[in-house]
Amino acid sequence: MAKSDLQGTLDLLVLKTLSQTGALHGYGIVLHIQTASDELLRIEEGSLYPALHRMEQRGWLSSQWALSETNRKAKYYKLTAAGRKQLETSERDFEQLVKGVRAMFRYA
Amino acid sequence: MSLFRRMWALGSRARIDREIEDELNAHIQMRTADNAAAGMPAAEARRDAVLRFGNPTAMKERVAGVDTALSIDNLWNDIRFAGRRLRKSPGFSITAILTLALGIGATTAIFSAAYAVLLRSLPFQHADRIVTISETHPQIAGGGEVTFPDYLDWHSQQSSFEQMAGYSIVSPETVSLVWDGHAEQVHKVLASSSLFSLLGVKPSLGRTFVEQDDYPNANHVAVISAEAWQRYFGADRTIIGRNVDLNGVSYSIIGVLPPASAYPATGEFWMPLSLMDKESQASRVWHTVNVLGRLKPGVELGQAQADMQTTAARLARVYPATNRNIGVLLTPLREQLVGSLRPAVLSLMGCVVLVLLIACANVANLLLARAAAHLREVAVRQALGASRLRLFTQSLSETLLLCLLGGVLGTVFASFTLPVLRMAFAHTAGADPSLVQSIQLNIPVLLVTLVVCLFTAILFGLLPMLKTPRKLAEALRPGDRGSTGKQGRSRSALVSAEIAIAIVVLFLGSLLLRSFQKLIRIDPGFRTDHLLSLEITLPQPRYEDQAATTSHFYEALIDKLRQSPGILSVGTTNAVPLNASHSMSRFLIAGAAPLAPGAFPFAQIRYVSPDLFRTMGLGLMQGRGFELKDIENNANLFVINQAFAQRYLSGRDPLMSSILLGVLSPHPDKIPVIGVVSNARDLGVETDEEPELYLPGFGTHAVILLRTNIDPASVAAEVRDAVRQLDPNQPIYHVQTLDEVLSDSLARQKMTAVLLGIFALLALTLASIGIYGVVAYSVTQRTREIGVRMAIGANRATILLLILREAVALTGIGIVAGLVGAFVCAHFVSALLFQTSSVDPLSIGVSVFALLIVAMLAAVLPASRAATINPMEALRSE
Repeated sequence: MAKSDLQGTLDLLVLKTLSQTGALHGYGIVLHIQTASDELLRIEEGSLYPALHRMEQRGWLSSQWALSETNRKAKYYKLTAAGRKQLETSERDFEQLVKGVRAMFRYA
Repeated sequence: MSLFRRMWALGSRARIDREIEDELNAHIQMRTADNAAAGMPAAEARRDAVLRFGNPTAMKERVAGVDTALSIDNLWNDIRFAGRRLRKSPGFSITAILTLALGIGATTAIFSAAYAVLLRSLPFQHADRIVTISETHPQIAGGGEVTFPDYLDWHSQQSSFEQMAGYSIVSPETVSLVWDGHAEQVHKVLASSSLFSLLGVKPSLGRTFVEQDDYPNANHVAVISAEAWQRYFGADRTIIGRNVDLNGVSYSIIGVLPPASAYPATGEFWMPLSLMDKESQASRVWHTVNVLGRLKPGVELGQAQADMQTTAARLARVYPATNRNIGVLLTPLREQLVGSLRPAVLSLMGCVVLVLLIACANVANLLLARAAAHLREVAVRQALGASRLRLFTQSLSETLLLCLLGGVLGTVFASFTLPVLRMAFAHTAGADPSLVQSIQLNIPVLLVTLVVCLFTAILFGLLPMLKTPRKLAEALRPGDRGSTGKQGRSRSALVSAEIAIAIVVLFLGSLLLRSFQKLIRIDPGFRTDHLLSLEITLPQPRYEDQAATTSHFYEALIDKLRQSPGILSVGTTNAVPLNASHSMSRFLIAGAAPLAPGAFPFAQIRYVSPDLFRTMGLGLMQGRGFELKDIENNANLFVINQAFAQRYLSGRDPLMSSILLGVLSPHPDKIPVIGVVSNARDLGVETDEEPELYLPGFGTHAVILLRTNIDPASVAAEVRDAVRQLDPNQPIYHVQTLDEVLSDSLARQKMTAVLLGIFALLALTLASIGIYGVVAYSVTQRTREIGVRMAIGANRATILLLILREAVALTGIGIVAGLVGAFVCAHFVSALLFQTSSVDPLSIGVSVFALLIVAMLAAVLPASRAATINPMEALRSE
């Protein structure tokens, strides 16, 4: 059984984003998800932050204050080894979920 | 990196908040800037950014919630909150902290003793494989020294040990060291070269013995302890290779041992065992050598014991006259060093844990009562959304604070009691002084204390949690008593358990006190008051045993001392009364039926001066005592004690009997008995009177006894002066009154009894507090019921009985359960009891009675309060 829910999906998106881009601040993550999903996925921007902090507490992410490309102080997040592992698990779980949902649709 | 920053930041909530705010603001500003770049007007750009973001304040709270969910910040807040709550109810807090401090303090003190004595590793290599090997004889209790030839045979014939070493400390235990114009008596040890390598002790300076030192006519060399090096030579590093004068013979110092590694612990100077006197080396009569062995890896103690027993049996066949009936006893080194301390320490440890349990039960009771009082508060907080986990951590931090405060206070208590413990245990027979001195508050002990604190805290923290209501409505209903019935039952069970444990501790305490009482009632056979003992060792070769110079010295000294107005009489002997004489000999009764060789009896021999019997206060029962001319004439005459006459001369006239000494030599001495004196308990008050033989004479080592009519300790200076006048360099040592000797010989028993007595009192007090608490609580809970009963006609006596009956039931159950436990536990302390049965009825009676009285007193207070309740007020109170 694959474990997946909406929160899990947001985590997966964040982890995937950071694995593709390296270090990024919260706003950058929002923009990346939007462009990478061809504007299909839009998240409530504020709700990203509790998720980021939770993932950092779990040791999946590490953070550091740095200057952004527009010379603004921003907090940058980056995957840890544990985060990379979590990404693999989440991806697998998500594939399972998608497969399961597809199967349901075919059956109906 | 960020984790550290986070932990650092957690010190204050404000700092976290600021950081989150910065992060969120940065986001909104970036969006606003992008919007503006896309052509939006400034106000619109900002509005859109905030809209997309959601409510910034709410978001900030959510992020902060994530950050602090499990943080130290929260715990610190909880602890501060707990501190405030404890300060608000000082009565409860002080009672709980003191109770815990007593329990934890007593546990810490006793555990530090148990750790030092039973657990701490010995300062020797492979100490777990080192055993002492002593010989046994049916006539002599315990294990004893072996003869030099036996030691050599053991050494060459054994197969169980990697190494075997011998050492000898027998009389005289000290030699006189002359160094730098001063003379001192130092403790000497004659040791085989293997002793230090067996123990794994490497010298910190110079070398220890080599194999050549084991051969006859070895060089006169000496190894000294670090402590002796410090004391006599001021830690002079150039001491190696220098010569010192020991008993008139020059020895070259070859090595210094590292600190605290002396074995035996009293040793100061080690000389080669091969320098032992030729007579002892040649004969299987003089038992002078202690043997240590290190077992080969994988060889069990029992295997080695069997191996050595075979060797001993072989020797017994070859030398029946000396070796028949001689067996071998192997004792692990730790056990040997611990001596008789083990049962004492273990019983104390057991009892102190019981006391700690009672203390815990009491605090648990207090906490339960508090939890009941806070029931509604907790329910309200739950209704407002506090999670059970949150409530639990809060209750945990409260008990954690209590237990840690109790633990700190308890450790302070413990640090005050340790010197007393060390002093008492130092006098325990057979216990090694270095082991006793290592009783300290050290890291392992403090760690255990901390674990005890945390364990009790978690236990208590859980307790009130079990009582939080699952159905909020029930707890919030006004006047509800639904959950208190159950609550009352668990508190009653706790108190019954407390009483049961208290009975166990009380019973053990009274058993030991009874035993000690019997011990101090024992008449040692002589008056210990106004009697001073001190020792002197005259340096050889200027003086020799039984030589004229020696006699002249003592006679002159005794003459001088007798002229002192405070001194009534002066006597000399070779061992302090209440201690075994190191001199034992085989003997035969002249004219008795012949015995097989090897079956000859043994007796203690003491060399005494004419006035010894009068000085000690031993009664002359028959015949005469010694006179000075007996010594001057080197006369061989015996005075025997009554025990000897009873055991070996029954049916004979002692004064017409002769005793053969030196029975293994071709020409035994036939020595007539000239007198019989009364018995003294010369092996210690716990041991029955042993047969003893007294011979007249002065040795180079002598114990001088002085009977005084003033404070005996005050004449010591006079003695020192008198000795100096005769020989300016001659020290005296071991100055002690016989009252001290007697009380020291009972110090361990006294300590054990007193400590257990204190634990018993503690248990009794704590149990009574527990009973009081439960009964008082039940009275408040039943106020309305009591009001109703009074309203329908119950009088005060009925109410009193109603409440007391509850207390009696609690106590009764506790006592019955406790007695069962007490009998089981008493079995374990039976080794500590002297002439006291482990089911001693008086002790049972005293324990049960004391507990009943205290329980009733504790119950009567709240019960009488119940009886004076005004029914009108009680009914109106809800």
